[in-house]
Amino acid sequence: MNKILTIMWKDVRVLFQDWAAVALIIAGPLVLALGLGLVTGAFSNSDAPTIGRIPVVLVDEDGGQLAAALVDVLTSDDLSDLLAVETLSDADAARARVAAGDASAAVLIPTGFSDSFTPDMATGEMPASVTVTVVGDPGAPVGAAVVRSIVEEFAARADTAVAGVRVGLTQLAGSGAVSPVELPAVGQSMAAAVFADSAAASAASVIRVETRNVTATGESFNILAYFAPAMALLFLMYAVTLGARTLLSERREGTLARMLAAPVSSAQVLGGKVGGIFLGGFIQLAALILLTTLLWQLNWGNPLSVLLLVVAAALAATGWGLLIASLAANAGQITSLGMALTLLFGILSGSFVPLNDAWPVLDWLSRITPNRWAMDGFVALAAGEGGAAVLVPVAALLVMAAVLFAAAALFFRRRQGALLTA
Amino acid sequence: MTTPILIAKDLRKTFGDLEAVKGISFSVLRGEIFSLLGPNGAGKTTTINMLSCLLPPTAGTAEIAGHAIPGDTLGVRRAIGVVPQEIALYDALSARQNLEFWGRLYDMRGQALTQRIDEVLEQVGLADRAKDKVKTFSGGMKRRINIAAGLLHKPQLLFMDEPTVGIDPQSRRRILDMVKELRDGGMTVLYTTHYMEEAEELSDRVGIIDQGRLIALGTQAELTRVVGEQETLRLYLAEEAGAAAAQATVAAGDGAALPADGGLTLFNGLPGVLRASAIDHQIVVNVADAGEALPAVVGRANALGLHVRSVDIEEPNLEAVFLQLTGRGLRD
Repeated sequence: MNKILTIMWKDVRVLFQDWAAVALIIAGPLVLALGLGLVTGAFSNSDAPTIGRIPVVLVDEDGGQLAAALVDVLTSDDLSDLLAVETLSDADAARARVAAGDASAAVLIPTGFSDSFTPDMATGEMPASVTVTVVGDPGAPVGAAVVRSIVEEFAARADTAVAGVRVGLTQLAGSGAVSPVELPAVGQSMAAAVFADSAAASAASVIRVETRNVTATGESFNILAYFAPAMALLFLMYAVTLGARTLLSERREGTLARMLAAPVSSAQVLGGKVGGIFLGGFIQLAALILLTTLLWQLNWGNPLSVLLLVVAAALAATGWGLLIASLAANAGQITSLGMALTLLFGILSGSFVPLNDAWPVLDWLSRITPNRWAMDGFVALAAGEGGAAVLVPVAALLVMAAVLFAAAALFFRRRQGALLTA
Repeated sequence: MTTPILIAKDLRKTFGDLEAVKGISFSVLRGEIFSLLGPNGAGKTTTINMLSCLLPPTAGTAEIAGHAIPGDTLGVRRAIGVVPQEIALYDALSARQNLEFWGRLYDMRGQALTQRIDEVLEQVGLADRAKDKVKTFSGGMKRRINIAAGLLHKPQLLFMDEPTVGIDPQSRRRILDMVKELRDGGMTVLYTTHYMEEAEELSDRVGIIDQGRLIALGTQAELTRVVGEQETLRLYLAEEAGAAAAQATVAAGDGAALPADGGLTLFNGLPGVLRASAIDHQIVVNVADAGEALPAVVGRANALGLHVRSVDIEEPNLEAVFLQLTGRGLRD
């Protein structure tokens, strides 16, 4: 273990003694995040950078109780400091407003939305689900993300309420209190009770949206909380590329052979090299979080969750670095492939221009990038969500790391003779 | 100096269809400098790589300080130190940081490591540059740190693979003196080179290696006996010798006199001439008696249009031995 740590520490030392590399992977993300912050108006006044009222257009084609509840949530007093909601009647017109940049997001409630939560009178079965669409403006990523998260929260609570109705019906049927013939009608009554009365009251009691971290406590969502992790993750990929490059450059320069001529096993050398790549990425990401906290007073959220995310993101990025190294013929190829992957992942994950719902294919593709999952976690934490919010991103990153490590090991095994011998 | 620390038996190494080492057997005695002398591509580095467990032998065995190859890889690696032909150091780190890293790989720690680093830095004459990054060093200084890294753990047997390649004469002198000091301090050194002068100056015994085979082995006196009382005439030309000789051969209408092995037949038939070869800007002629052969050899060279700038007469040496055994010069 000592020798693995020795090799790891040596690699980190070599990486961070290269001032050009340090400038690129530490100063680069800071400058870019700052630049993007300026472009998007984060520093447009002397106050702390905040988001003003987010312009939202709302189309209710449903007209049902649940739709009314959602409308009431979006137009409630609690959110009035955050959202400027304008109601339209035409979905296409709403999309056009977003496309023109007049609104950050459009919330489209289709016909049948409320009914999709109510059991069929005749059969007692739930109808097919009907989806509320949030169309986001790529030019206003944070505003669109805020609207989307409110609607997602609403939908999640509606699902919970419906599940409660179903459980109630099952218990009533089981106890014999209600005959099977009466079940559909009782179900409708229960659903009506859940979503009845005034929509505002329902929203308040059943589908309340937590907004305390946005406005209730007076805090504001800093746009740099989006761009700082986006840029940090972008350059994390580059940092691991630099580390992975040393796997082949050490072979060329004879230091790998010299290590293997010492009383060190091949596994220790590889372990040390992989550990060095990971540690380099981890330090880079951690340093950026520390610097942005000190320089811009960014609140990254719960420290333990942030640490978990950083470790998982660095592991997944290391996996990509190893895969590139296992496929490349020389150090130059690693640099080229690494740079291409860095940019591709940055684009796919919306590091430069968030893609939102406008690009569903790219959104799906972004799931292969560590950037996307880590961003999901960082943005959620920065928005004040608890540790549970990072569980899915961390799990996805760890699975990604495991798959990539396995693939890289397979490719390395095929060429181990060439890699580890003089 | 009679106990062998290294015994190699019929070592072979093939890479695909290429047989780089074709069954080499030799031993190295404790406390001696043993040189493997041969031209580039002769199989010296491949032999060292097999002996330092970097390459598994295709066939054959070896034993180093009682540890078997193949088999006891870790034992062998603890017993040996390796100074590779490449400068295997980290440019971004200082001399001391490099040595700390390599020392730790040999389980050295703390004060003992610090003290040993001070010693080897003193030994290679770079104590005052310990904190400087290696990238600021000259080629010769890098070579010396490269050697220092191999000495840190006081190996029983030190492999030095062409440690003077590409450096200035002063640095080379310093390294050669250092190698002799190591031997005088009790260390055994296996030294590979294609410089005949280095092998002659340093070695207690020499193995001459060519095309993967060990073609001669012994002390310098034993080896030069192979060529008897032969002397060597070294003609320094203004032009590249091989090309000039080829041109002269064609001009003389003697196309058949260009043997594939690099030997020259331009001087055949002259009194006392045994064989000749071209190396860089030199023509090396083995002769039975330099005094007798010199006028005829220089006359033939002039007649062929070769521009001879100077001539050296050399006593029997390893170059002549190699020429005698292979028909080629060491740097062909």
